Amino acid sequence: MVPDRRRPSALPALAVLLAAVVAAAGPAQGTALQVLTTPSGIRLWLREEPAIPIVALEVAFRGGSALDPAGREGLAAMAAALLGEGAGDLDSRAFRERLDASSVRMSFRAGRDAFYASLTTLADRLDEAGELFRLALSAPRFDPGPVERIRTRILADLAHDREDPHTRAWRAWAAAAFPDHPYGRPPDGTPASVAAIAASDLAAFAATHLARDRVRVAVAGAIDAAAAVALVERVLAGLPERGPPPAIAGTVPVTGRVEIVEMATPQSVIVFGLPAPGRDDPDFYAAQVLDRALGGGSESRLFREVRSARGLAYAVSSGLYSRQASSLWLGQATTRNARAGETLEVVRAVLAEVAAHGLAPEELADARAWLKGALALRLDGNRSIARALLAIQLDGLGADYLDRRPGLIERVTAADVRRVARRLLAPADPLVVVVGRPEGIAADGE
Amino acid sequence: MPGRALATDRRGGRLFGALAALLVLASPAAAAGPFAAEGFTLANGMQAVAIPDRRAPIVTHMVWYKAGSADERPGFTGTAHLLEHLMFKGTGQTPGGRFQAVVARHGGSDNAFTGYDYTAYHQTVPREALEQVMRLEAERMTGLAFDDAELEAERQVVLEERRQRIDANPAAILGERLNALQFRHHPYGWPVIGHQRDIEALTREAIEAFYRRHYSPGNAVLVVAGDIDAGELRPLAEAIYGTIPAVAPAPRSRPAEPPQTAPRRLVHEDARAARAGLRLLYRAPGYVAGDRSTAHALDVLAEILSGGASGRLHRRLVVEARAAVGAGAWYGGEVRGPGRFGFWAEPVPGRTVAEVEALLRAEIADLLAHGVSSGEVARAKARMAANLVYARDRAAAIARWYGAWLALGLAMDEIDAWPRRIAAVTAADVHAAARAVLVAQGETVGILLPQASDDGP
Repeated sequence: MVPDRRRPSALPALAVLLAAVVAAAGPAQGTALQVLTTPSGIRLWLREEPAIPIVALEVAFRGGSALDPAGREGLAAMAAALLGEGAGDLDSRAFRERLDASSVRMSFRAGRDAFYASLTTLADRLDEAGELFRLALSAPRFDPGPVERIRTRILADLAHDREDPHTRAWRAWAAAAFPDHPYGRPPDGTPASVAAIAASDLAAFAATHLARDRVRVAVAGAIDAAAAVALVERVLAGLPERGPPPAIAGTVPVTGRVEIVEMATPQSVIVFGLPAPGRDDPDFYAAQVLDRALGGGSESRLFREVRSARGLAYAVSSGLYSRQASSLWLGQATTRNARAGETLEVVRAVLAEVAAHGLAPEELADARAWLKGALALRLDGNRSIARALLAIQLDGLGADYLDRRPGLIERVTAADVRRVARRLLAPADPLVVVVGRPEGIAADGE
Repeated sequence: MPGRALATDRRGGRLFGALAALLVLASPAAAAGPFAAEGFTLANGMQAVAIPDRRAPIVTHMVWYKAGSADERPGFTGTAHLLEHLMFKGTGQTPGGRFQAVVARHGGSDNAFTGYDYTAYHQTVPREALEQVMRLEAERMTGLAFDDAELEAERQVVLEERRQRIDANPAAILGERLNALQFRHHPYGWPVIGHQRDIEALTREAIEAFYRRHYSPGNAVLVVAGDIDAGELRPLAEAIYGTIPAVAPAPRSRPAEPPQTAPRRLVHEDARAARAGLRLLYRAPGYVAGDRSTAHALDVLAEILSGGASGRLHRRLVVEARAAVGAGAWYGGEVRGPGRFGFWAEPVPGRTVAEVEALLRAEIADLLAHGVSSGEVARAKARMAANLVYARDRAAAIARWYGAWLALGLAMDEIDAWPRRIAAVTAADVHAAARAVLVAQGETVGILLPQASDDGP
């Protein structure tokens, strides 16, 4: 099929680059959110959804690939790829056959700031699912066979990343933005660092980072409070109580530079970004409104000016990324090499215009309206609900957030957006990274 | 879905086939249908189906047209897809962008996609916005209006889309060449997005003619999933879509693909490609034009070969032989015309495509000689049954399933029977289907090589 006419896969790549974000908001429907505590003191958020016999358990351990030791970049990602490859008395084949025999689905993923573990099961197989998930998290084997097989696959994936202009662009932007910070390193590592990771590194990672003092837990589906508490207790209670602190130093991205990564490809991928207000900043919600109006959806400024009016790009969009150590506003546009210079000029003109004059009243109203409604529409399944509840916890927001969110958005005024536009867009030029053979763009020297 | 020959899932090192999204839904269940879907037909011929899911006050609304790239003519490829883009430019009454703004003001999302056999438009919105969305969608079924500047800008957008999806991606170029090699006459041989030269040359007249010919209630399917049932949907559908005048459906004529009588093979060398890859395609019956019992057996076969966490090909080629980074199989039967059964594998560094091909062919030979065990069939069918339950977690995905099948021409009872037919498949059925389909003269092999090397075909 060809493809959705819009929102191609460019920004999702960013999610890989800088981990998960919770986007918009709105009032939640359905049953009430319950905050529960297990006997060993693990807190979980539960939303019962009895209509569909599926249970989703989403777990995050704060601290992600940004904590990988120097020279072992890619460690958290490699551990994630190996947790489903044998645990306890079960080798890889036995473990995977047990998963298949009960149709249990589990996955693991290393974000920049958190390590994610996800379990989905049919409600009548909760016992087996919980046991396999417990084993994967608390007793991973890291046997030589799977370790070498997964290493080979990761190395092949890294080679593939170099072939993909979008992945290269996001990686190059992060490297240029954060030259001396873990956020600038490739989260999946380099061929050299992946080759250097030993089974003992992986075992040490699992033993120290998968600890109860940094865990966040969300459950949704056909499960009651007692069963949810029992499930979470079973899966997590055996993990170590504490690990090393998951904090990393705060940082601000480099701005005001243009870098070009030469690549023989028909298009130029243009990534541009700036520092942005973080979650704790009073301007955070105004920044969300601004971002939506700039580069979210087909009526945004960037979409209209770059794509609809001029046909310069299929993919053009922006997003706000509130990370633990740095908050960013990032955008991208992909255009034929011959029109790369023109495209970047249009992007800069849009940013300058909004920095100078803010948004039109209708743009402001539309952006606020979308943000107020969108999160509720994402809560359309047991799994998506559990993921949203987890993301809210990782952002340090309370259980009343789903109810508070519309008011927080509604309170954003035109003056707030003008202020944040000046603050975001006026003081510095974005850091621009272009992958391809762009015409009409000059790179800055060292 | 039909049209996407093969896509690469970079993370898992896996390629999944045309219909992965639909295959996920395949499986046995009791009673009328797996999802409590209820269908009806309006007086003007438009089909409709409601799929209730009352967990949240949300609906996904879709309108499918039974026309896609395979309904274009040679020299006019890309018409269906460019038209899909232009459908967002507004109508005589509603300016371009307003429909999307209405959806966005409710926090909703909207989009569209084009395949070989259909084109679909969809929105996810709060229940209270459904009626307004239906009115706007109904309006653009017959009232599309775009000016020349919009056409030219959107043509450039689509050319950028083509560069991004195909020209910048060596694996996609191989896929496009492979389709053309496998289907020499049938329109599945040309890309859904179209050839660059054709996209550049498409005229307003050609686009509008395609629109008038194919966009009408008798050629459309309405699907609404979520906080609604058929009793609630019917009066809305009658009032909004039912008032569009019926027109005689355009006859569908597509060139037939002659039988393949000899193996075909191509090597695509691309200096940009980082990884070598192998694809092995066979002609196969599709669900609509082919033998349906073979189609059911092929779905089970694909699940045995590459479903779940311990599929046969992954175990043999990746885990045991350590020759491949990934390997799998897929069945593309959800098409109106000829179907396909495909294999893919990617060698680990240090092993050649030829070595991996030999291993894959040994697996196929083993399959042809010995078939599959009844235990493998039972486990595959159990996973497919579980997948069906998992699918119920996302009403929007179920909407796509019904929409695609109805747009391909199946009736509701045929769609609802599908899980029962899968449940009835035996090991002997799977063996017979494999022997019927995996024959040398029907194969088409495609090899991707990072650059010129000794690792030839």
